[in-house]
Amino acid sequence: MLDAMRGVPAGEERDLTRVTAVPVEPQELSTYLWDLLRPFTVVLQSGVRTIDTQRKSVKWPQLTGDITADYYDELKPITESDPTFGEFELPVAKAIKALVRASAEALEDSDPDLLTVVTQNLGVILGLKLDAELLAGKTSGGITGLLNIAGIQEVDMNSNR
Amino acid sequence: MPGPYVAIMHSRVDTALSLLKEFTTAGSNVPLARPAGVPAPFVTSQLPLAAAKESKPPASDILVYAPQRVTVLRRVGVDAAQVLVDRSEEFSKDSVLIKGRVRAGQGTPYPQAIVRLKNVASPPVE
Repeated sequence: MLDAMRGVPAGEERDLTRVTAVPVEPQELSTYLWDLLRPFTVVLQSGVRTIDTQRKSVKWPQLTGDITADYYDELKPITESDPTFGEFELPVAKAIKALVRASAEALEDSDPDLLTVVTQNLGVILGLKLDAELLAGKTSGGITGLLNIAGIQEVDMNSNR
Repeated sequence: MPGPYVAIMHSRVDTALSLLKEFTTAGSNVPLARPAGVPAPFVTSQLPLAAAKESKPPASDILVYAPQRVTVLRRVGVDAAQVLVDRSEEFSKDSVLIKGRVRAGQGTPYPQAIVRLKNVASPPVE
């Protein structure tokens, strides 16, 4: 990854995490940043399901009402009943972004390597921010956050304080 | 809701729990062990911490949930998690811009799989 970043010619802007042309960076780079921030995001570490999508949201059918079963005498008509379905929609939130301006000379000459330091720090900061949003996000258009999801169970421990 | 379940708590709560002794009466220095079968909690400083009120210590929340019932959407493709390098200002300003961005979503069709323990005492370590 760092070699790919250094390989960007002066005067150019390049996306290092997507493959659009040849010669380009390998496909694995698309997960580079995600892998970098994962150790700092406890919600991801806890084992939640991660689904990739290219859409603004993903929808699933949801069973909201059951079929009715009952006792019936012989030869009596059985009442028909159907399950009811709803739709569960999971939106993709706004992007979390960070921008760093570095001296070109420092990037080339620094020891320890400044690009490595910046990239690692980018992973830490984006990981912690993503974690905060996954836990308690309240930003408009952002992630709802586990604490704010409607319908969760709540137990107030205030009396124990 | 079927498990397994995990717990996420603020680092202050984890420290307070780890300092508990087996007996509340004076004289015991045996640390109170985690009950058998209870997995180690995930600890983070990213959970909000409410300020102390009157004689009560600061408080935070503990989240207990079934992770298999929670989904995180990771945007891939055009708006994927990206690292971008911009060297367009290198000539005029000798500067290079490095941008990182992440786009994700989160939710669950089973909100009852999440339990929030509110207002858990989270005293600072003294």
